[in-house]
Amino acid sequence: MNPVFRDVLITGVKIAIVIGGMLGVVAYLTLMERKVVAYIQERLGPNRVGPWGLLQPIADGIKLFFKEDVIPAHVDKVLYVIAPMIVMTMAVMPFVIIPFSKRFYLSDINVGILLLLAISGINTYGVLLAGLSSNSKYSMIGGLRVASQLISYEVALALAFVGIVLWSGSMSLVKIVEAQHTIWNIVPQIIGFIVFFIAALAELNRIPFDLPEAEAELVAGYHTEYSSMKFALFYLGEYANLTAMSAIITTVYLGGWQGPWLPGFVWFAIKMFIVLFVFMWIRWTYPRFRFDQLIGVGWKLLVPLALLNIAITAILRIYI
Amino acid sequence: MKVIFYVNAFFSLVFALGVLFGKNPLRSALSLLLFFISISLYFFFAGSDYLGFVQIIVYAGGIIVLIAFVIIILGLRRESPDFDISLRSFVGIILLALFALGVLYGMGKSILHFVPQSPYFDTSVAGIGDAIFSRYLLPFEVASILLLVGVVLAFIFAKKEV
Amino acid sequence: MNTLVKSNLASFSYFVPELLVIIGILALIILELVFKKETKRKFATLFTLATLIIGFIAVIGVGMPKNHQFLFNRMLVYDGVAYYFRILFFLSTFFIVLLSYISVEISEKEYTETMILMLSLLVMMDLLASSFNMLMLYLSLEGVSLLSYILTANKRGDVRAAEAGLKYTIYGGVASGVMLFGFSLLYGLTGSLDLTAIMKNLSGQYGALIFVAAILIIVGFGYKIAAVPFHQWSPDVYEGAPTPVTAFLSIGPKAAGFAILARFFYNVFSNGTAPLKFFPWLLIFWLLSVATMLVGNYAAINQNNLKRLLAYSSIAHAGYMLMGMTFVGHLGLRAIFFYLFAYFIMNLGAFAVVSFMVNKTGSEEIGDYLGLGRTEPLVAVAFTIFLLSLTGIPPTVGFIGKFYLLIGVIFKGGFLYYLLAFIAVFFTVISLFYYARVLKRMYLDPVEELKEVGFGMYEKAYVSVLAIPVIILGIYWQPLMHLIQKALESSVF
Repeated sequence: MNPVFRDVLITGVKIAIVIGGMLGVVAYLTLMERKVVAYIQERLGPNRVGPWGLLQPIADGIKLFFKEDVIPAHVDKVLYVIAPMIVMTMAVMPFVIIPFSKRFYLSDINVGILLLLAISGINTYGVLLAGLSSNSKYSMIGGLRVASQLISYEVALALAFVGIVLWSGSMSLVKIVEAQHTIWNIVPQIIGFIVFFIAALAELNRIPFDLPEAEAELVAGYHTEYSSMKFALFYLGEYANLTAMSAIITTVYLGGWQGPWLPGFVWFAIKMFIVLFVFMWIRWTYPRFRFDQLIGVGWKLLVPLALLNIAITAILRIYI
Repeated sequence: MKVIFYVNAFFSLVFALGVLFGKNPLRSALSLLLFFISISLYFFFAGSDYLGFVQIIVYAGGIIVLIAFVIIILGLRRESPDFDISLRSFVGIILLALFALGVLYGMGKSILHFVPQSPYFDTSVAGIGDAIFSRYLLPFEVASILLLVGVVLAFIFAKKEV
Repeated sequence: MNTLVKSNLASFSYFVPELLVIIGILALIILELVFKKETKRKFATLFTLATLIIGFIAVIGVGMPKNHQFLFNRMLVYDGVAYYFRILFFLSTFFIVLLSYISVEISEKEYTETMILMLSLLVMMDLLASSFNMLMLYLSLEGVSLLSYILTANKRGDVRAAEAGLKYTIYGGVASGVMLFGFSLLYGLTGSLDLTAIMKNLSGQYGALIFVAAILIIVGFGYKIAAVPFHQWSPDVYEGAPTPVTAFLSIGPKAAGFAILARFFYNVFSNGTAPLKFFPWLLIFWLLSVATMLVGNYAAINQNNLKRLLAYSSIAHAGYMLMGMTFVGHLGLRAIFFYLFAYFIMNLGAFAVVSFMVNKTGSEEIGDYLGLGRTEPLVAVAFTIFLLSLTGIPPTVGFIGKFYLLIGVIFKGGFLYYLLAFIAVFFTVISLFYYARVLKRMYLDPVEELKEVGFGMYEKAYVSVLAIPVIILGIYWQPLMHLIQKALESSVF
């Protein structure tokens, strides 16, 4: 076979596996979330569609797919249509560079961490545009909130990454995982991890940082005016982001695919699901911040902490 | 590779014009966003991934969001008025056209020579770090002071009592 | 250790004056919190002056180098010219601080800030005058600009200052953007930011493009020195800013602008003795010079606001100084540098009188100078000396400065140069008209009732200290000229 053709084929298959797998995970995350919340609230959760409600996500998907796709008359059509696409695309992008196991990853670029930051930068536009193009006050306030939140917390996120880069001596995710062979980054980078985790919660717009879509104040925030598959895209994008963030945390702080006995892929999945579970656990345990508190936490607590972490890491790097 | 370069150059031009002639400010800001992203591609072509991503993170992820904020908060939704061709702007356009011709003439002569690679550093992260803290230490520090001064200036213009 | 790092560390011994000033700035920022409200102005001034004096001693201590030294890996160059401009900047800042101390236009609230900003501006001007790399050049130029904008706009509750600051900022942003485009063209053509390397790598092949780049760069520099047609900002800014700040802008950043204009064009577009052939040095600076003299002098004729008048006169003086740039050679440079010093003394003196008048009467109109010759003879005489010197009448330093400029142009020979000299003399005569209007108002116009202005010792001493050198240097200018000659010999020009 032609080697170029073979390479393209192999990459194509890999991409198909990653995207397919990820969409599967995302679909079932909705079920997982509902089950988790049900058990936290001492209920059973969905259990009618299939055994233990396992077919529920499929039923939801089909339902959303057949809903009427309403585009309100007062929206800016182009931007309105583009917005959910940006959200979904950018949510899938991080998986391009995440190493799932020792040999299985789509690509390894030497400034991987910067790619992640760039993606999260572009991601802001999805929600911002959704809020703006909808031409409705709830959407707009939601969009504004989400944009200010994202750019505030991105600073903390990036600074936490600096600690990682200093400690591992590389920006490539594959190298970062390899550098955690003896000890996971979560131990020397514990401050960085805390900062990163909180900032990640904010980046994902999850409780206690879910002001952009606070139901009590803003109906549904930036996606108030969306329906049918476009709404589904936002919904899926949110869970895809969640998955991506868990995968990033696993890769960067929890040693990625490294672990004894079991194959790397399994370790990766276990760690990722633990992180996902913690995210859900937090969501259904804590109340929401007020908006000024939210910005205050970002700039007055997380950024200084992240800077402190960088200083400590630098000192450790010199003397250890 | 060359073809991609020219295609990208074409799109940069289109986006840049989009900024100028965009019908509403938000569209202009988005054109600017796309323009910055296409600019970052040049860095990728030049083999400088770091600068390319930093371009996206800083300009696309930060600055355009802030511009969008300003547009939203000021409520600039209306279309900008049509261009008013007065004598003054006419003279300006002619001068600009002459200037563009001059640049094009000069560029035309050197069209086959691409920008020579910077002789100073490798553009990897480590290389840039080295350059910043050794050869370009003073400009780096002065740039940081400059940013601080810029913040002060913004403060002065934004203060409440005139 | 890396040689680059070593070079950085070694450079600090030549960088002591700036370091001292920076330490002073930092200390002042902290001390502002400690000073009591009533004595703040006095202590801030004393501290600033002490910083400047210590810095000045360090400037003299570092002294004039025998050969030029490249600092910070060729980012800066320390040579005789850099030394000369350091002296000029330190002196002008010193006098401006003294002027600000009694100015009513700078209130207590922003006084310490103003001191800090002026010291920062001093550092940036030093950096600008000694830049030898386009990156450094741009950053320090922008630093000077931004600090100037802040100084202009930082006057609480004054609409004129806010408007002036905004205009200044917007014009400045456009000008530096255009200049940056020129820099990027040069960088693209030569692949280097270092001025010498750019000169070596420029080849005639891209003549047209180099010409375009040079024009674009002139926009940026021309903006800094307020040359026509990039001068529109200057009357409004000069009028809107507090008078001490106006005085500072007209002598400090302008001198820095000329320093870098000369340094850049001598090092990039000439090989030290003759201009590179694809850049029509004569044509461009000739046009720039004549246009600047024309607009500056013409617009000054009708001004009734003295600050605006001095703004236009400052444009006109930039035109005179640009004459020295029409050809390559030490004759032109030494004339420009001499004139900058002369201009520093006489213009500062004129602005000082205006500032004192604003303090006492709150007016900048020429009409309000009626009878000053009788009520305040000493200040009026000093003002007369400054104005005559600005016109260029012997035996003042202004005359010597113009004389050197004209000599340079005439020695060069050729029809265009003779014409340029003629035009300059012609405009000098015209300028006598509007300067003499002020004199007439002070001495000749009939006065019905005399109004006491009441200048104290401080004001009288200040103008005397400036007026005496104007006369002395007008008679015995050799030491200054000698210093400039020596400075030029050890410089990269």
